[in-house]
Amino acid sequence: MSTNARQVLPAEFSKLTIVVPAFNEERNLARVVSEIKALSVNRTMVDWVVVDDGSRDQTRRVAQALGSKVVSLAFNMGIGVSVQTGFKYALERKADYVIQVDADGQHIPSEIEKLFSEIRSSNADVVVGSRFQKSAAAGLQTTTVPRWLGGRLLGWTVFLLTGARLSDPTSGFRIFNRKAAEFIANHYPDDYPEVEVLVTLMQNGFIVKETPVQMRSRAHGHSSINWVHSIYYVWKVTFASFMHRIRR
Amino acid sequence: MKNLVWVDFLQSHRIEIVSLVACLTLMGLVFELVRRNAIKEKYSFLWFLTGLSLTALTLKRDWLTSLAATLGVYYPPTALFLVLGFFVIVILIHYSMVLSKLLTQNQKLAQRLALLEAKLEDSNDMKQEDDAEKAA
Repeated sequence: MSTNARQVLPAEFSKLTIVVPAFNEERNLARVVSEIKALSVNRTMVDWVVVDDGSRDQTRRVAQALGSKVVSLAFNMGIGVSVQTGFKYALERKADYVIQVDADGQHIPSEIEKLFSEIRSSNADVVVGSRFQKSAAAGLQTTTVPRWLGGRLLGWTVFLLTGARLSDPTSGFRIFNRKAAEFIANHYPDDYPEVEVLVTLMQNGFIVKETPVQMRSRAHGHSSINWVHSIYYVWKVTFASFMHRIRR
Repeated sequence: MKNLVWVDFLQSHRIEIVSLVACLTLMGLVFELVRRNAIKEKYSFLWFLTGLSLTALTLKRDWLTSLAATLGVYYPPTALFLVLGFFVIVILIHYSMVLSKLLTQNQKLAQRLALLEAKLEDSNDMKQEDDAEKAA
């Protein structure tokens, strides 16, 4: 069941909170929230929150009209702060699992079941939805060349720093158990966080796994990642991840 | 004899040695500050770019000579200071932009907090009036 109403949770149920960080996504949000509302996960209460990252369009109004709980940041703080805010919100409301679903429509809410099933059946603390694990070609259709190249390079960086082989380390479609979510709520990079946070988690003993999922191309708008951003992204993540390692 | 060669080398390459030590010290200092979380990684990027550029120009004398010639500088090591000055200006402008953004955000936060407090007070006042009416 998917709901935003206050409900008493039966003892055998677990609570899954979906965090939807959104910045100027008024055109994509309706589809994402509708798909979330249609979700039904066995013995699980599904809750969601839209974190409006200082949008200048009608994102907040659209989200509220769709029955979403909305947490609005005073101004644009970036994906890192938005996601962390959503995690803090979820943990305050006793979530057992927290999952990030981007508001641009690339993440398909119905694929959440695959992530949820993997995290419940394995010893993973975090499960990352990978668009490349099954088919690199299919995954390429959902991203841009700079991002794909950057992702490959970052995959090598993750391997060098942690020994883990991740095919899609930049994927924001990921589920955390409560223990990992609590760590994230206190340790989350404020820019280009996706890869750095995985390295930090693994360096702190958390188990990160991948599972293949399908993703879509963004329906409206465009990605803010271009070649310049990609180069900076790779440098920043590599340097920050190395720093995490030597700080321990 | 060996000592004399070394002394000769040090004396003739004084500016390069001083420049190299200064660059490495700068980069080492920034590295340590990032390690201690005193500087965020993203703000260290320009400092490392500065240090690496100056180190490269110090070690590759012909690059420095070409640059000096292009800039019309007679004594090549002076070009190092020009490059340093350029980077420092870029970093200062960057920090001016960061500070400006922080100032704007601070103002918005202060206003939002004040308005929220006013809203809370209004809400409490209305609740008290309702309670008083119900009691009457």
